[in-house]
Amino acid sequence: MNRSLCRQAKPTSLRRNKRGISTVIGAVFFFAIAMTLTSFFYEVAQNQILMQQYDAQKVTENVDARLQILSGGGVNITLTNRGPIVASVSRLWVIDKTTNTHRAYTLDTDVHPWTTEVITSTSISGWQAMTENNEYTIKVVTSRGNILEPTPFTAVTGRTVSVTSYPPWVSDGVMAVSTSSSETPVPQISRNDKGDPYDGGKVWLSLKNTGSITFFLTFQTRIVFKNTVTGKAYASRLDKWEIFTWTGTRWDMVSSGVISWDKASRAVYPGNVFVVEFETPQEAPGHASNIPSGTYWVYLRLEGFDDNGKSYFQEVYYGTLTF
Amino acid sequence: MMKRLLGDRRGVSPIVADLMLLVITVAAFSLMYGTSNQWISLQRTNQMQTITERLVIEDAWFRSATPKYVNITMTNIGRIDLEVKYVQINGISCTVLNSSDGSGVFPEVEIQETKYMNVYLDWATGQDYTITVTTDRGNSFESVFVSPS
Repeated sequence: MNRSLCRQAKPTSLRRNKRGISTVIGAVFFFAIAMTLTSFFYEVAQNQILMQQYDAQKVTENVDARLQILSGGGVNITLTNRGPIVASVSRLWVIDKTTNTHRAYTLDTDVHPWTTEVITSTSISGWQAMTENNEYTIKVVTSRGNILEPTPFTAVTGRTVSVTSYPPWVSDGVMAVSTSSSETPVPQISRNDKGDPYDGGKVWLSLKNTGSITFFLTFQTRIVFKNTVTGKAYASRLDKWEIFTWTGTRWDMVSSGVISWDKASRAVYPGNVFVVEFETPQEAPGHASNIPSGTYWVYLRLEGFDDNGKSYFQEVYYGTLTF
Repeated sequence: MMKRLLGDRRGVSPIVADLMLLVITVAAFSLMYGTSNQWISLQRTNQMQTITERLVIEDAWFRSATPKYVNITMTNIGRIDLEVKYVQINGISCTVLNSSDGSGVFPEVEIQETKYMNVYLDWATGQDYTITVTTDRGNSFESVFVSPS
């Protein structure tokens, strides 16, 4: 009796077990598929995050370059890292616009945050001297792919050219110096320090809000006189700002003012052009008590920051003047 | 004895059927899993490679030779090697004259490598030209350059 019971019980338990196996196998397969899908999305998402961080680093990079043109067509490049991460400068492009010649020089210079590195053209392999009075553009390329490019300049020994990483709302293409063509070239910036108009034309620095949001600009202006003999520099404040808007047919001035304090602030709406006019320095060499007469390199400078704290400045060499 | 054997044989066919069903199920799922896994891994590889591509067009030199062409210099700043598939200037596809990789071929650019290519363009003076470089993975990189006046 017991034996027959055992015989009958065996196949039943086997069959019961087999029925459960397919469910388990099915579950394992579905689990495997689910894991594969999850890992797919996870890996893609991880990679996306990594590349977003990579792109964010590129945006964070903030290197300014300043070039000083030396005699014999050489150049001194001063790189200042104003960002929080190390920037590696990989290439310098020198473009002679007069002869339409492009030259690239490979660099390998790391600039640590808030430090300055100076590169001299004599240390650049294969450096070709710049031609005096030819028009040039230079580009400084970092390993993250940022390209700093100033407005074109004329190669004049002693001239300083600044390359600034502009905020995204500034079109560096609009940044330019214009002199009034109806007036003669400026023999001197100012005859005295009493606010009398000088003998030549006005000079403007301009920038345009090319973004879609309004920014609030805090700025100051400077005229810098650098003595050609002693190298000593003197700075003086300049005076006027204007904002223009495009009506579709012409630029209309919407507001203007005098820079009476060290810094001024103004909202610049999308599409507006912000202009700073340089006309009357408060102090001029030979007339101010602390600036002696002599021959000076004259630079015009606009500097400031927006409401996000993004700073910029532009400096333009004006000419050599004797006071 | 004979009776017992016959009794045992009667239970074989359900077991065989169960086993066959099990084998078929396992085979079907294995096939399905293998195929889907392969497809997913291919998609993952493609997508991850596409995500990690970065290219910067450093310079465009508008040359006045006959015929006119543009010398484009670019650097791979991404995390993967890439291959230039075609170049468009102001929306028009350009033929390559030569490149770092030889005559008539678009270059392959390795990580951190800089390469050039010359493409035919009958450019006009003082014009804006939007240069779009497209890779074989379908990414496009764009820059605007102004021809000399």
